[in-house]
Amino acid sequence: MKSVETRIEKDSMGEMAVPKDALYGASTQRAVLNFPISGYHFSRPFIRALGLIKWGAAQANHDLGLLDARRSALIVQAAEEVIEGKLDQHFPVDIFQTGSGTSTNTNANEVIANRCAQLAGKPIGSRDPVHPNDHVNMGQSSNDVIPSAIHMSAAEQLKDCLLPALEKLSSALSGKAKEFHHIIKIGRTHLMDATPVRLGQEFAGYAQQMEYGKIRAFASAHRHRIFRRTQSFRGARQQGRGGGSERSIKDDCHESIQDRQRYSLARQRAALRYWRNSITGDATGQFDHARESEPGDVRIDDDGVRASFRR
Amino acid sequence: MMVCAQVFGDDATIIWAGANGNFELNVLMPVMAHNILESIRLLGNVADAFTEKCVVGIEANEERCRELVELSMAMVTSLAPKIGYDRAAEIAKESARTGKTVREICREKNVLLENELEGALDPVGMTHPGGTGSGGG
Repeated sequence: MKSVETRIEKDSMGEMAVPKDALYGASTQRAVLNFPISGYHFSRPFIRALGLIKWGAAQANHDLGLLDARRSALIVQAAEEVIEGKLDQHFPVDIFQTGSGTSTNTNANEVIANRCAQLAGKPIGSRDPVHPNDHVNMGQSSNDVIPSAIHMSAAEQLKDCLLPALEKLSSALSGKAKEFHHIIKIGRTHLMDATPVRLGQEFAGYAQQMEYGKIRAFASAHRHRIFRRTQSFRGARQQGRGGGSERSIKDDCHESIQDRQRYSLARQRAALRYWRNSITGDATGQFDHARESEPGDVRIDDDGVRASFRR
Repeated sequence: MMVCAQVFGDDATIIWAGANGNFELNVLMPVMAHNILESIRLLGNVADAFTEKCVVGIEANEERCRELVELSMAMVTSLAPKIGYDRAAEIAKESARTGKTVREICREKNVLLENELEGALDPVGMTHPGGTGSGGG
C-alpha cells in the first residue's frame, strides 16, 4: 500500500495522523482504523440527508440566537457542498461501525468544520472559527441525526427512484394488457392446461401487482416521514441532558429541511416559529403533539407529504 | 430475480437489526440504512431496466396461442354442461389417446350440431366470469 502524506489532528482522546488532503479529522480517522470491515460506505442519498440536517440545524440555531451569523453562514455553505455531493470522498467510514452511527455523524461534523476553516482562510484542524461539536453538532445527538437521515434518505429515494420506476413498469404492463386483449391462450394450472384466458388478462394481472407495489412503497415512504418526525424527540429525551427544550426545537429543524425541499424560505421560517412557539416554556423538552397551532402558522403534516407525492 | 434474492436478504437484515438494541436504543442502525437504501436503489434500477429492455418490446405469438388452445383437452370443460361430465371426460381421454383435437372428435361422433359446437368450443366465451365452462374443473 503506497504511503499517504499525513497531518496531525487532535481530538479529546489525543493525536492522530490523518491523510493530508482529508477534510475529516482525528475522530473520523479513529473510526476508519477501528472498522476495516466491508469497504461499504454510506451512499449519496444518505450523505445528502446528513448535509441537509446540518444545514437545517445551523439555520435553526441561528434563528434561536444560539449561533452567530458568521458561523451559521459558514456551516450552511459547507453543508450545501455536502448536500451537492462535492465532499463525498471525505466520508470514508465503513457501514459496519458504531451501531448508533456516531462515527458518521462525527465524520460530518469534522468535514463541515474543516471546510468552514478553509472558507474562512484558516488552517484545517484548527477548529476555528467553527468547532465540529460545539457548532456543527450544536443541539444534536447522533440519535437525532442518524435515524433522521435514514428516514429522510429512504423517503426521498422511494419518491425519486422506486415509485417512478414502478409507475413506468405498471404503465408498460397495462399497455401490453390492452395490446394483447384479443389474443386467447391456454391458461395453466400446476403447469398443465386449464381453460382459456386472454394474454391481455395475464398482463393486467402483472400490472395490478405493480400497482400494489406502488401502494406499498408509498405507504412505506409515508411512514418514514412520520417516524422521522417523532423519533427525533425520542432521541433528544433519551440523552436526558439539560436544555431539553432547545434541543427539541432544533430536532424539529428537520421540518425546515422538508420546507427547503418544497416551500419558500419564508414558509420555512414560519414553520420553525410554529414549532418553537408550541413548546415555549417546556423545560423538560416534552413535546405535546396535541397542542393547537397558532392561526396562520404553517402546518407540516401528513397531507403535506401526500401533496408532495402527488406533485 | 437476483435483485429479488438480494432484497429478501436485505429485508431479513433490516428485520433482525430493527429487533435488536439495548433497552430503549437500537444499535444496528447503519446496516439498516445501508440495506434499505440498497434495496430501494436496486429495485428501482431493475424495474426501469426490465421495463425498457423487456416489457415494451414483448410481442405475442398469436398463432401459437391459438394453436395451443385448439389442441388442448381443456376445451372439453365447456362441453361438460351440455353433454355431461362423463361424456366430456371420455372425449378428453380419446383426444389424449389418439392425438385428435376435441373438436375433431366431436365432429366425428356428432356430439353436437355444428353451430352448437362452435358456441360450446369458443374459447373467448371462457375468458370472462360466468362464461361457458365456468363451473367445470
